[in-house]
Amino acid sequence: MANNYTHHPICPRIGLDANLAAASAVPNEILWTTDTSFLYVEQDGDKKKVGPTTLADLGVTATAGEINILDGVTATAGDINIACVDSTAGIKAWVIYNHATASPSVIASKNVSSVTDNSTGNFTVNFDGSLSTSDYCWFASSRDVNDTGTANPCAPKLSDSKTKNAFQLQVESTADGTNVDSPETCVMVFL
Amino acid sequence: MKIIYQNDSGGVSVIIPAPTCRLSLEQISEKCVPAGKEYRIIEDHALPKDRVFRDAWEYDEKEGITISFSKAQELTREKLRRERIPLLQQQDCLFLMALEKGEDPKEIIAEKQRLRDITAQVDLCSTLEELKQIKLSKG
Repeated sequence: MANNYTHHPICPRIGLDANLAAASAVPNEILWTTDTSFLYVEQDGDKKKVGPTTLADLGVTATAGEINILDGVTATAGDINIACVDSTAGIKAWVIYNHATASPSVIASKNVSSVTDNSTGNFTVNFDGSLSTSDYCWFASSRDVNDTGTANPCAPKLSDSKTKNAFQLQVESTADGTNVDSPETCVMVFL
Repeated sequence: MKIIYQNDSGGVSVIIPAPTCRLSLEQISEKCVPAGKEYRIIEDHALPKDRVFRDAWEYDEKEGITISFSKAQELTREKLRRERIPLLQQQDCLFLMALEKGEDPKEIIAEKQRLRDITAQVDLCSTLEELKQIKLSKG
């Protein structure tokens, strides 16, 4: 079955061969790679170049990665939209942080080297590397420690605490505005 | 393993490395500890057993992290003051209702006084565990 693709500057469409999907060593997982010139779709060791146009012509850059199709969805022939082929845009870093236990922990993260626990409900997210600018946007949500379903507001700590390398935030109680710890604070950084 | 240092507020900052981070603890220290700050690398179990008095933690060159009892006392007072606000408001309502009905508000007055005096219990404590035991509820 021929791959079906179109050239779109933001979301190139990559055709998926149904036979390849069935032969995948990891069900419902498709890998893509790039040699900076062409985008490839790879599954079960079978690599296929996508399109005659170079990524540069498309105006995007990409790095190696993977697409995980959600549970309960079977990969079939058709088109897959890659929303963020341009790896330099979108979410730059994220972290899930538990600061409610005696020994706080980073549950999962990307492009985050560490989290600095400064005091109750006050911590600093340290990036793995430096961002290109300090004019980035971040968003965080924090689960209430008693699992009441209430989300604790997350606010910037100080304006000068936001740099290319890190930023500081505080998690506040909806009840009285004091800083509180949470078993799960999720932070995303956009640029 | 954690990295600790004294922050500008006089408390302790604890750096928690991300599991996927490829940097060594020394490299993270170099990157994340403010320039000129002394730091220590400690085992997880060297952290205090709970975060009840997190804002009373202090950096100690020898012991790593200690808990300031005077700070813990003040934190307990502040907590009790915050938590008694709605209880006092509730007693104010009950007091007015008792007056309207012509009932004796003696018990309500006593409860209000108990709530006002509860912070005095902090001064009677000599250990952190005693501070934790102070409750707003009766009995």
